[in-house]
Amino acid sequence: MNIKTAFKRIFLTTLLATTALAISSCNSNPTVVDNPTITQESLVLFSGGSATQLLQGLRRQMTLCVGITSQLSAYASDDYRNIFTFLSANVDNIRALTSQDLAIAGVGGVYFRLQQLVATCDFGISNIIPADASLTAPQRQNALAQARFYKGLAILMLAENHISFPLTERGPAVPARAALDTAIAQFNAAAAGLSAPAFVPNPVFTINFITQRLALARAWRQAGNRDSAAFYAQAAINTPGSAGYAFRAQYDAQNLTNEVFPFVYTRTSRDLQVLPRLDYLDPKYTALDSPIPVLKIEEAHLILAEVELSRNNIANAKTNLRNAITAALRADSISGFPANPRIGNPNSAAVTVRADASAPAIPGLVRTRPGPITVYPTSFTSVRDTNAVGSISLGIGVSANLATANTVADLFRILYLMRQEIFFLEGRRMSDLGIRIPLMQRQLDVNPSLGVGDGLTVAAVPSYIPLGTDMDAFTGTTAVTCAVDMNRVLAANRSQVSPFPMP
Amino acid sequence: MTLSHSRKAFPLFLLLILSTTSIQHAVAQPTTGEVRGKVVDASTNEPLIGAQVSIRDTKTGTTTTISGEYVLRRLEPGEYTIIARYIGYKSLSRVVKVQAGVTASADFALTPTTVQADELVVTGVGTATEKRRLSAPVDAITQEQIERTPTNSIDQLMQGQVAGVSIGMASGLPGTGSRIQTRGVKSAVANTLPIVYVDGVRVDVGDNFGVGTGGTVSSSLAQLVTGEIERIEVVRGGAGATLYGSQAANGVIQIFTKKGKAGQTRFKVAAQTGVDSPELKFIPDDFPPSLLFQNGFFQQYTANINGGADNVTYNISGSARSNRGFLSKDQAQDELQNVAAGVRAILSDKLDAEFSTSFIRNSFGRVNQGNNIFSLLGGLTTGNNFRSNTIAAAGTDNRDSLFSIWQLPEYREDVNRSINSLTFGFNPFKEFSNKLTVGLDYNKREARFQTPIQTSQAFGAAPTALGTIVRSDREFLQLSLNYVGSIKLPDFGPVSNTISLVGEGIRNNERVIGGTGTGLAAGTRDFDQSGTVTGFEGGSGIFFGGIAIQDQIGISNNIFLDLGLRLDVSTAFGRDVATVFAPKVGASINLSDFDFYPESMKSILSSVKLRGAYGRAGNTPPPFTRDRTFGAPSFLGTAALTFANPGDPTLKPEITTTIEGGFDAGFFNDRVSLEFTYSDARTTDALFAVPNDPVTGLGNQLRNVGGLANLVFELSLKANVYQAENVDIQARLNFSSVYAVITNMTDANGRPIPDFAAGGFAFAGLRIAPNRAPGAFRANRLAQEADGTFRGRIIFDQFNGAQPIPSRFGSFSFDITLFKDFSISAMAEFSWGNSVLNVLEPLRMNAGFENSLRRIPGFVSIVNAGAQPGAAVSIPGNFQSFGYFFIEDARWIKIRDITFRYRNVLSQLGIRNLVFTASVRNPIIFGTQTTGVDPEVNWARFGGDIDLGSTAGANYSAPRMWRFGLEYSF
Repeated sequence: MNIKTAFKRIFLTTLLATTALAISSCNSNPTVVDNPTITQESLVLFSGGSATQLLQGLRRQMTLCVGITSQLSAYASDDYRNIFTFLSANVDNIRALTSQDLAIAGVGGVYFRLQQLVATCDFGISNIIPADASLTAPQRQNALAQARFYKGLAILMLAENHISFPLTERGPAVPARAALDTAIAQFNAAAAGLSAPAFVPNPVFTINFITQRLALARAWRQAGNRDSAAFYAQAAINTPGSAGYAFRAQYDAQNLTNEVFPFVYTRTSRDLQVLPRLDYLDPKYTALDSPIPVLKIEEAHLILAEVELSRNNIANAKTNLRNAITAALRADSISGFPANPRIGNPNSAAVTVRADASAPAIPGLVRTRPGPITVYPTSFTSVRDTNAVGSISLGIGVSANLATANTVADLFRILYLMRQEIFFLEGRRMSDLGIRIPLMQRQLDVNPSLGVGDGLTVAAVPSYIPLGTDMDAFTGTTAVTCAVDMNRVLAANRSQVSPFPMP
Repeated sequence: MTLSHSRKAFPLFLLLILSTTSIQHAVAQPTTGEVRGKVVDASTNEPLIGAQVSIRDTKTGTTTTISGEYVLRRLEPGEYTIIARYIGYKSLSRVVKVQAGVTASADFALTPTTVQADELVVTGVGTATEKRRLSAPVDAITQEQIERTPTNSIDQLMQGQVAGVSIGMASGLPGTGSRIQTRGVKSAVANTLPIVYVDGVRVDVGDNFGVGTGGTVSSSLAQLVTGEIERIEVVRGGAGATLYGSQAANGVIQIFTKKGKAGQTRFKVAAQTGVDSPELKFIPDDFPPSLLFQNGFFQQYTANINGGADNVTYNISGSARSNRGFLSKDQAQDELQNVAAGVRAILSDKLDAEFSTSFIRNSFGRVNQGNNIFSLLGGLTTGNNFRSNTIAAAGTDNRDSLFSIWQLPEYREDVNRSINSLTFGFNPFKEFSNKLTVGLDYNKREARFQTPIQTSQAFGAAPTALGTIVRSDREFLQLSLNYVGSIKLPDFGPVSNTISLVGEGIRNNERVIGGTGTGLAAGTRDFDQSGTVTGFEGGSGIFFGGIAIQDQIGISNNIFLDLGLRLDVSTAFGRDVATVFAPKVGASINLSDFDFYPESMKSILSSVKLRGAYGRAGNTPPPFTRDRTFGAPSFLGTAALTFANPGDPTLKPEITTTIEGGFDAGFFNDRVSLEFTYSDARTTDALFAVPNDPVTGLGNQLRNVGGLANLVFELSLKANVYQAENVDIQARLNFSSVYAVITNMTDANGRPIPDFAAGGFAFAGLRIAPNRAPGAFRANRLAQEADGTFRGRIIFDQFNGAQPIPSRFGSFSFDITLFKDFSISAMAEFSWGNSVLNVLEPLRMNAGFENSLRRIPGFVSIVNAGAQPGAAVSIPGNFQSFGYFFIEDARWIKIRDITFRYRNVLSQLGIRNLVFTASVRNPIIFGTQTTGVDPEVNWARFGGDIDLGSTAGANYSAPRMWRFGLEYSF
């Protein structure tokens, strides 16, 4: 065999081998590709049914919504100030917040996540749940109820934080009040499926009548309807199992972690710092997967109190606030949690704090850090009924006493202080302050008919909100005085602040 | 049946025919004759070694020996046109009459030239074509240029070699690839990398892999060591790329490997050693460099055998390279082993075959860099966690222990790659040639990033989990089939006509799979032996096919017309898009070859060629962008459905239409050559990220709505500056000017599309915005109040006119040869007209560096405004406001390499062909205006797609590579 024959054979063998490899590796037709990701066809055709994954997707999306709202509300309000983070610097100075700000302009912002939750719910309600042949009739009913609940919650949260927003593609801006009717309709429509057994992979995801009634009470309060708000608040309280009830956004330590946690836990200089009078509430969350409460029974008492104040019924309001304190002093506190050092802010139990220059100096609101502290993962409050202001109750300083508050203004201040404390890091304070954030710039770009102005291109900020970052300002290191007691300011402006008419 | 009867067989049946036929042996006939001769330099009469001597319109050819002699054997009696070619010389042809049993003689004396009009190129023209016929430029990097460049990667090899091509390093660390831009940026979303062929086979060059180490990704360009390279051809896009279709808008690079030369077996052994020493120009001097850097020892050994008979030649080589790298603890170690073989066989007078294969094993290390929170260089430069006088980590500010912790992470990547090419050439008769290439590129990468401790320990947090391993594997397989047929029609008077047909099919599959283990068991290197194990997987596949037809018309051998049409299909096109057409038209006129061209002019303007072309090429959308897709990330034990890509069934490639014109001129008897080209490339149907209404819950979708323009001047000047018996000086200058702009940003309904990101950060991003350069900087800045102070109020989204793409760049090089055997070459590259965002400076400001703070107008008042009552440390404003101040001029001049070569070092001792080389790569950088960052080396990859660079900080510059080599041939 000469060299040429040898090479000829090598060539032939290689060519055949290459061709064979080409054919085998491409499953015979090299011109066909299969998308390895999930397509709409594969979702609908999946014989195992896609409703389970869809509902988990809605839960995950709700968690994303609650997480980012909690984070934004924390530093937009008087709860935290932004010292040095990658978060937007304008949110602290809320009047500088525009639709282009990174806090809301991206797909990770509050607005987009909430709209995406609405859209995903709609997709599930019309495309996935009805097409899932693996579901029994009660399962389908419950699945639809869950999807409607999440849709209602998303619209409710949109309405709490925006003046108006579209609900249809390139559609008109719907005022928050009108959107609340849509949210309420969703909550009501969910009722039918809630009697069916909960179709959930884990009981923590269960949406029951307490959840639904708390949501309705919250929505009706926001809509300014005293009677309905009171009705559903009372109905929630009356529902068996309501004592100690909380519905929470769940987190997954590996795949989706609590978005507030890093800022309240990792103590370097680059972080958010809490207002000293709320120091004892920080950090509310102690782990990457600490859940964030969304709807809890304390809210029903607080709503009832606000309704009673609106009716100028001081005694009943006090009763409701007393009940709220009882509900807020939960048994789930974690003692001995090793708090990280706090740099920059006051960090000793010896520090006293005045809510403003005219307020009494309260001891016991600031913790010694580093050191073991007690953490309240669901609720807590520094308001008491009998103890004198300035004393220590359950290890913290009492900052207000129900017993000595006898005017609507005093009680309103205490009500909003309790809301601030009980809903701490739950994404509610920004809305309670009356701040409404702009839409994301993309929304305005694709739908220019929405226009410009407060609540669209820039934040809508009530005039009683102090200029600049004064909400977060304080002086002193051992005897701290906060520049403004925002709860006193809210009480002074209560007719603007409360959804209900106030005397 | 034998092949001599298969003249009419359709070439694609070649495979079938081959498997059933025995090939006729080319047995020497007693009735043949031969041609012998010598090729010499006309000016010095010195023999030219390795000159190509071939017979026109045939495959018959040879190269000259060490004495400049050649022989062409077994020629049938008749008249032949014999051509002698040598790089840097003007080709000569001679008609020789061959008679049976007689040796004819044909000697050639070639004259040096800087004009490469006779050089043959194949890229973009279907069949081998002389440069003088081309209507659009095709550049060739010759073996001589390759030998002079002391580098081991294709991208670095090409730096500064081709006008219009800007090649910037993304990182000096091993395994990374350069950012190549040919004639600007033609897409707002796609990578600017040209497509690359090795011996006719499409290969993977993507920047596409890696476990995050701070903006650095691995590039398949780094493992394109393909045996011994004979030559590289570069097409910059436009008409030259039309035959390559919808993926070739960024141009085409073709690499040809050596297949050996007929004659006695030659051996070559080479050893190279040297040192990689770190470039410290951009490293702050307030810590000892020895902490971080070392002078890494380099060694490389190469063995090569080549030779063969007249009808079979081969080139087999193997090399091993070891580089300890310029980072301490060998963290930038780079090991490479490579075997490669190339064979060319003339199986009969009608059939030939070429085969090349290479296998590469590359293992390298890397470290965190950039503004990665665990970047050691970043941490040192910004002073965070390392300075007690500024903000210190909560847990510890002990420099030494922190330093040790930060040096613990270990990144290792192993790459196994094999590139194979098999080409059959079939010429049933002189005027009809066929070439079929089957290719396979297989690339398997494995990365492991191990952090033995819990990383937040570096910030003083309590160790909750003991370490992390991140693993990622990528497997890539690309198969390609390529056919080029060419038929020369009979001349019609002075008109010649060659029609070429090109067919191409490419299929690739990519799969990435990986896992993470957190909370490692002691000493484990397996990620599953840990507290928490997670995994991920992703894959894509694309089929791409095209056919093209081309007609090259020659009139009187002075005017050439070039017509072509390409038709493409791809699985990346939307369901509503079947095929895409791309035409090209070009002409070249060799003015100086006309009779009317005055002879008197030739001593000054010795040759003039005018050329102009119109052509289209494209960029294919990424696989599956057309589909509406969903994600299903894991959430508390259940897959959780989310919206992913919105989908667009009308998706098609972006099309870049180029009109270009220019001239090639030779002056003073072609001692000086000037090539000038102006091109105007307009991308239409450009893929832009178009937002959906947020109400739909859908994100951006790539749609064919945008427009870009690139207006480019390219100039290439070569000169034989001085030539005498013992001195030869040549110089070369490349210069390019690029103006790139986004011309259209409205959707199909005329609605404006909002700006979108092409890299960078929220506080200073690269944006795609109308009437601005692609990636124009948009940054936030501090507002000045009425009283002149700066109180932290931020003005958002200000364009300051800065752009990431260099608008002027080029290179200057010279080669000096003394006494034939001693040569010095050097090349300098320069670039300006762009900016970088220095991301270190904001961090240094945070750390309280006075010199950084002073760059902000009114910084004192910022400090006052930022001082919070009760805060221990005052912080000047906030991150978001800083971008505008740190967009810095990115101009640079770099001496790329200086090489000394001394041939026949020991000739006095009778040892010939021993070559000594000494070289240094990247020795000197000057003219930079940045603060503590290398303006060329920058990062910020964006979604693996468009990569405009221009974010710099705490990146490692390429080291100074000192190399000393000995090469011995026998």
